[in-house]
Amino acid sequence: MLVPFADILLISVVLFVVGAAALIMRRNAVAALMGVELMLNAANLNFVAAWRYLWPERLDAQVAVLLVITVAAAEAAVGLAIILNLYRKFGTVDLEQIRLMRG
Amino acid sequence: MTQIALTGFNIALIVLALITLIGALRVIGTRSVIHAAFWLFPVFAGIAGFYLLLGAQFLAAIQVLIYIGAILVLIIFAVTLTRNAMQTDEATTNTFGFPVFLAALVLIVAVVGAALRTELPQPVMALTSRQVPNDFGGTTTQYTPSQTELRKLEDVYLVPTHLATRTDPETPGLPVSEVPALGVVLLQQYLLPFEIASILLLAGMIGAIVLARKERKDGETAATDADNKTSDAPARESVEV
Repeated sequence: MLVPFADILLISVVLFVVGAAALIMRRNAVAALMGVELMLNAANLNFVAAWRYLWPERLDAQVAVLLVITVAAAEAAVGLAIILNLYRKFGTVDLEQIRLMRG
Repeated sequence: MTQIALTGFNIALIVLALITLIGALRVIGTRSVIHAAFWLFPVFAGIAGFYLLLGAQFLAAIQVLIYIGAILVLIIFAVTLTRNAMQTDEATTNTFGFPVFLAALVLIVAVVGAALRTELPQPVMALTSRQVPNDFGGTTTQYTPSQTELRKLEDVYLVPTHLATRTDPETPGLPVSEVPALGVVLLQQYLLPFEIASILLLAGMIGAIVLARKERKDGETAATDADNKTSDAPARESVEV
């Protein structure tokens, strides 16, 4: 059942789930952020597929993708700066060992 | 269920899907964080290929510029700054491994099941349309806008008429190139979100600089924290293209 629209949605679902799993499972904070990037990419792919197959004459989805990419860039810069700070403070970016608020 | 048609479109789709998903699985599966960062490259490039395949040329270019050119470089910088790059001996995943795998399967099945039961929304605009059978089993709405509808298209959605009428004969309703129309829409209808995104970028830039700089002690020169700022520089420059 090679349905282009459904296929692309399926690919983006798998990509999103893999990203979410990376966010939950990886112990390295930078690797967890990579999971966030995967999830954002999956969402963008959904936007573009919806634009192409459902509303090809409206460009709202492409504008949304542009804004998501902007937010992703800002998120990556600030998130990685925070991780850099964590590394200076704790000497590691292992999320299992950074347990200041766990008591 | 229809036969799998080995058109160029489908072959490209399969190849891109393989590249993207294998890359994503390697990102989560590989032990070394720096290798995971490098495996992000096929994922981002594959997504850019999807954009090209679907006709979003501008987004493909932006994807390459921002994701591959800026965010990937930023991530690699962060990996090399926060750990010994080639060190792989420590455990990479926490104890959630199996539950997360189950949850991922459940989530995929749930989303696919929900998607199969959902009736796709009809296009908002009431253009003169007819249902034509397509090669994937269902029907597709084809648009042949009349003059009044074209004017409505221009008035309501600010798409210039001459762009909306230049359609690809193989895919009616799809402009040959949507890039000029995208610029118009972005700077007219979506001007406020555009400006807010600019401010967000500025705030993110300042925030990253403030967060990443070392607290300067007395007697320390400015040169010592110059290396911290270089990690943010690629993202800023490319993002503001």
